[in-house]
Amino acid sequence: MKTALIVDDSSSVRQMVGYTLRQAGYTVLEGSNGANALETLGEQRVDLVITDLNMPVMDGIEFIRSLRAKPNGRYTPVLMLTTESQMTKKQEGRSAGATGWIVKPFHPEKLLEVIAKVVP
Amino acid sequence: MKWKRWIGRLSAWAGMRPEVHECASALPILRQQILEASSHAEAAIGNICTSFQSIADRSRVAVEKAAGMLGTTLGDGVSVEQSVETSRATISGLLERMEKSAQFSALAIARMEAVESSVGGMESLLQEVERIAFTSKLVALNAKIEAVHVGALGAGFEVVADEISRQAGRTNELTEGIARRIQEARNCVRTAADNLRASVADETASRETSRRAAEQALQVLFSVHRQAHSSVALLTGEHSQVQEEIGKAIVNLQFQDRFSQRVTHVANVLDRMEKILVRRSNSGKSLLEGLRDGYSMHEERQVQASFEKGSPVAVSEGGDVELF
Repeated sequence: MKTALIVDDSSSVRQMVGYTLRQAGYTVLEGSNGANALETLGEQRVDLVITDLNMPVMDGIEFIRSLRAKPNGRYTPVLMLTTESQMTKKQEGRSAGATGWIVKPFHPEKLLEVIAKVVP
Repeated sequence: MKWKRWIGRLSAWAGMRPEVHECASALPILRQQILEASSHAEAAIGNICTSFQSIADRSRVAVEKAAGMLGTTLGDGVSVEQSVETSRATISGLLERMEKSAQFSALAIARMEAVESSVGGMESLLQEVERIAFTSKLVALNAKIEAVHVGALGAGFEVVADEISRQAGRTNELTEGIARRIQEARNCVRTAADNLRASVADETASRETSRRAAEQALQVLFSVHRQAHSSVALLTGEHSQVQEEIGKAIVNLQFQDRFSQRVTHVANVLDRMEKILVRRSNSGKSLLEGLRDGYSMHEERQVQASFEKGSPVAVSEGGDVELF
């Protein structure tokens, strides 16, 4: 069974993404910001990370940079799931190490299609 | 109370209009109101999502259980379809054996009829023997008469004639005995043949009835099984529909996230307004610049642009995907 880490300050978004992933057979871990997501992750490997951009304490860009610096997060597929669509922000995410960028609102079926493309 | 402190502070700032002070003091309250409203909406959406999970799980479990029931019989691990086919094969085998048994019985009846016919042949042979015995008796009688005519010389002849007559009588007795035995045997065979014939007729009728009844029962079982399959297929379809509807609802419920962000941005600006008006502190940026910098959505920027340029707002539907 695959594991995914969902990071978003909105609990309802975490629930909706979590529901979608569980229907696809994923076990789901959660974080409400970048900092507590890193704490939740610890040293374990996950198969997928989905993170928001704008979050308190540690935002999505900072979180991805920190994740990529860890041995267990270097090659994990990371999807940004955010309301932000500005090109400059996308470039920033890409430079930080994001695998893809999805603008909210997401459709569960389409999200799973994208995940199928990035998760081996 | 906080607002009294603010009014107190305000009194230290000479030249500020009272109505501006009054509005400024309402800003923190408004900020709190909208943040709480957003928080309540978030909680409500969270509860709805929990219900979705429960609905989807129940639906999936119901489909799995129904499909599982169709797949196996009670305890032996054989499917209903396999059971029906095995039962059909068993019934066919039984009917075949009964058919063969009926054929053997017919064969036995034919043999008995052959025996009866053979016995009839033997009777006619016995009749022939009786005729011969009778003729012998006549010959013996004639011989005796001739012996008397011959006189003393015919004495030996008479003895022979007597003996022939006695043998003929014995032959008659024997043929009568044989005829009786034959008649008894014939009656036995006939009775046995009649009984067997009646049994075969009876068995044929009941075999046909049993075959029809068994076939009907199997058809009913198979029909019920097919209907159950259709029901499970329908249930599976409904489950897919439920998933689809939940998917659509999830897309729509994400309004809450956008609403929450916009509310937070508005609350932040209300906070800044209160700082500017009451505490006269400013980060150096204009309020509008600060507003723009806080935006995280295309439509927020479009709303501001529509006020600044007078152009209509184009709202993004989201869902764009880019893989790096």
